[in-house]
Amino acid sequence: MKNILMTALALTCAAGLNAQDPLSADSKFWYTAIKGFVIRAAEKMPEANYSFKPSPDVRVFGQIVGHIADDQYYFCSTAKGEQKSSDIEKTVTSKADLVSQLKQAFAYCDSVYNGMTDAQGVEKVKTFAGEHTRISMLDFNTAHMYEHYGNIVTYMRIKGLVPPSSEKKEQ
Amino acid sequence: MMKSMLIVALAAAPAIFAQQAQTEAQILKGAYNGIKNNLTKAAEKMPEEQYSFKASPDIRTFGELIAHVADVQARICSAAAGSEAPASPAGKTAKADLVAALAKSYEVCDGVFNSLTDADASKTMSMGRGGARSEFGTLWQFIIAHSNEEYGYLAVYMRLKGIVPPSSEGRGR
Repeated sequence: MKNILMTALALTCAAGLNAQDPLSADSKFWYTAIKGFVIRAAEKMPEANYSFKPSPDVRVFGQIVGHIADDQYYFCSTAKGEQKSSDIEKTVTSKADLVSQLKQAFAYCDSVYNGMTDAQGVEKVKTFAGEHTRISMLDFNTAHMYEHYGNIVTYMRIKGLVPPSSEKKEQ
Repeated sequence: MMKSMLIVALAAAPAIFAQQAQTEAQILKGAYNGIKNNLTKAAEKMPEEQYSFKASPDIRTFGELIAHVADVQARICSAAAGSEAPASPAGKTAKADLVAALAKSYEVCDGVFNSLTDADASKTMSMGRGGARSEFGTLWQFIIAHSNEEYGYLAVYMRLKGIVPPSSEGRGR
């Protein structure tokens, strides 16, 4: 877990601060940090464990991956001012398809984060819970992924796998 | 255990935004209050005897996760406030001590978040290495994103013990 912070710190130092668009630059920065870990975790978890859940009343691993992809479309399309929805969590089960869908969702969000300026970011858009700024949708998307990456890490540990954010530490 | 944290945070936000123009500082505060509520309730809800539980042998116990969150939050918010960080709770195991340490970290962070304005968006802070960093970015990463990640672990620990995590109360998952 600590490696996420160390990686982020190192990246921050390398990237420096974007004086022109500091809010959107930060938003994109933390999104990029968690994106790599989520994709690698999805790739690393064996197909057989995509149906694993640690207790009866929570999502299986594959559903978490699908849920992240679905919500990325929701948050990023809302930030962009589009309406884009998907139902990956409930309709896709194979690892190959879920990893592919996850990458496609990230590709869609990449375009939104990359195109966002601070001026656009503070514009309001309609969401399921009232009007919020575009950049808040992107930040909620990233926070949401961090929460679910925490779920994913625990699932992987229970299955004896080292999550991507701890790989270097435990080599 | 998943989407509800965001729904609660977003649903709570309009009441704030209805009164005044939405600002980036208020967005940050809304996200902060959402995860603060979940972590505080999780620490209180987990029974004392489960504070030594961990989901697999090579990761932190529930109590160690609470200590870690409290420690990181207190250090980052103290750095933002320019004050000395409270003593680290590392090594403490009693629920009461860890709940108190988490509350103390939030006391420090409340002071930082409650005084944030959009003018602080261009403000930098130092963490002792790596040079100047965006204050908004640092708070967002270490107090919002990192704490959400840790909450993601805690939620699974609670589920493994048959306990519904705070973000899912009334929802099932």
